[in-house]
Amino acid sequence: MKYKLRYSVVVRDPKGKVTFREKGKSRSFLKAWNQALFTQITQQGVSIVDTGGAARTIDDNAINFAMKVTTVSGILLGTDDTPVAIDDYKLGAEIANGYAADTMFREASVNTPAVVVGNNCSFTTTRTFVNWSGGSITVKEMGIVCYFYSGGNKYMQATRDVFVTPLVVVYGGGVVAEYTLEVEA
Amino acid sequence: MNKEPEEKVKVEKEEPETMGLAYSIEIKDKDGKVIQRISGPAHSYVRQFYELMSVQAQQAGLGGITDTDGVVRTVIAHAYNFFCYAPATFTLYGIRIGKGSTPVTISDYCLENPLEEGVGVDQVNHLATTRTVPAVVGTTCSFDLLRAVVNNSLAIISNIREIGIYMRAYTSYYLLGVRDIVPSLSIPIGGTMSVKYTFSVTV
Repeated sequence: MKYKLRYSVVVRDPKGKVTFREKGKSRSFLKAWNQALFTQITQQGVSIVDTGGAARTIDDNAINFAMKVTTVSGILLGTDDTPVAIDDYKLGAEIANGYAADTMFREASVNTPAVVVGNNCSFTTTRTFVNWSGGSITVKEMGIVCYFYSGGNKYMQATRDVFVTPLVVVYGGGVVAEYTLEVEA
Repeated sequence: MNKEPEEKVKVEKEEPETMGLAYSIEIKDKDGKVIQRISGPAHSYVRQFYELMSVQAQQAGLGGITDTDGVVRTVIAHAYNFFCYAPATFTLYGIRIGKGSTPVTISDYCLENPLEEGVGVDQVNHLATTRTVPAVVGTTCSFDLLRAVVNNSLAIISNIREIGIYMRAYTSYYLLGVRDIVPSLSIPIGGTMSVKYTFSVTV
């Protein structure tokens, strides 16, 4: 199939030196992603479980699929390594935004618009996370949370991936996480 | 003196693709008897599909998007983006078929030679689109989009070689999202050709 989702993560120590990289094909568009696509294609609402676990009927709307910069949308990281299931509606154990123990500071997402190179069209969303928690954090999962509309803006887990090798992020270090969505004719 | 950590591991994880698109085509004669079926993976999302997804994801307007008339447009996030659930006779958006056979390129913006609505030579009557809602079976979630066309002309329509999906964008722009080349097909007089696209995600 020519519709691809790829991810990459780069871990750096407090001095900026790269200590670990992992990249690969994402396995894990989730049910909510396809439900939102269905609603945009047909303008028929379906019930989506949001990241809070509540079932909500999505409406066709300009906000659907938005990966805007907020603390609850865009790329998020977590510490759970439970295998991905099609109906996952959130990360297994999301790392909260902040500076306290077991939290990481989420910087703004950086998005590139769709570009064509040869027979390939792609766009990326990238986010940097910094560990100011005072201790090391082991990151085991990542995913994208998108907006959807259901009488107001809600959030759906669009993708989830569990890393082959957990990422150890030391105090003062960080992670750059990136997803690339691409199509090749 | 602290020893700087070294880059330890580089992993290349190759996994199956997780978002699939497949098509199936069924042709019936005037009596409703199935005379041909083909199916296969669709190979050809084209750039406009991803440009629309980029617009939605980033909530920012994107210029340089070519519509089905070859006009370059700027598209913003909108409730109509991706809509292709066309009613009967409607051809501005929805599943279309055509006689073009040029291989697909990423920058295709329309079918090469689409069949128009009507009962004249090489024209068909487009029926209303139908759908199934997303359903989970095992580790896959999928839904179908299906449209049939009827040959009410006075001659067999032969050499049908392409199928695709025209999508609505913004308020009244129309974009090619998918195009596939298929084996040469014919619709007999009074016959029907049904095209089904299945959108799926698998973990």
